[in-house]
Amino acid sequence: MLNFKEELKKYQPLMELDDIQSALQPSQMQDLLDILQHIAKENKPQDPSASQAEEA
Amino acid sequence: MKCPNCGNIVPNGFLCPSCGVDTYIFKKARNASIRLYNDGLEAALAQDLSAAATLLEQSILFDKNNYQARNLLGLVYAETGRMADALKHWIVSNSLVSENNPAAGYIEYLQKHAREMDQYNDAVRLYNQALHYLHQGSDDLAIIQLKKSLDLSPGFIDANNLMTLCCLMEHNEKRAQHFIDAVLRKDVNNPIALRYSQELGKERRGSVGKQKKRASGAEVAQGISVKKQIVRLLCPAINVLKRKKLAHWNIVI
Repeated sequence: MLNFKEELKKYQPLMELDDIQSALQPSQMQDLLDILQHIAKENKPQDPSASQAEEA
Repeated sequence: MKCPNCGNIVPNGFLCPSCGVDTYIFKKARNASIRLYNDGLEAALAQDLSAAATLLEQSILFDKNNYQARNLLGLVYAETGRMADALKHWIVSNSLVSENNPAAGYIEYLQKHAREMDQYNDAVRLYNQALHYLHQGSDDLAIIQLKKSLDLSPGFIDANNLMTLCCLMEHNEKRAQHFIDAVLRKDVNNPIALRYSQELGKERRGSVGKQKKRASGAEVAQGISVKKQIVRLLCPAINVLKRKKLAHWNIVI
């Protein structure tokens, strides 16, 4: 027998025409390469010459 | 080597000095996107719209600039009643490639048929309202909204599935089967509709089993009553025979 509440959780509200504009934001449209580039930027080691200049 | 992203020459290794893209990963991702698009196209041609949508979404995840995958995904969503999702992908596709792109034609069609577009949008709005009512526990109001939604967009798969769920909860098997059939006509392997169909089959087998038990009990009862009738009919005859026999033996009962 189906569990109604559990089944209902599988249904999500769908996008209406009014919501299209927010869905077209650049932040909403990323692909794998964007994610990898973001990770690569975060993990990029700091430039040692830049840190020395800061200390000076 | 030429960078597939910006077109500049990559003298050493895989990292493009101009745009910073890892060309190896870029090529792999693009090939994966193309493969997924081809699989999605195959699924769409086989009327397996759920699988097509999943594969095409994955294709775009690997390469957001795959405008052909966006065009096809838009068509799949339009076919299943999700017009806003379709329009979103066509708009993005058109912004990526403006020349010789079918997406422009699709957008133009929707702009020319604004009333039809509003109908589909109202259907989605009513579906969302029905979902809200169901979460609140107002099943009757939800069913009213779903009926209106399906009147506006009979091929709206999510609404059909949700209506099936409501019918199953009310044990209205005939109605549930009607909506399951509507979904599977459009999307032959829709997982939700197939699952509900399985549940319906289980319920029917259970009810047939109960009917068989009731029938056999009725048969037994009927059998007993027939036997009783036979006994009643034969009784006078038996009594006559008994008297004759006893008369033969000169005994009176």
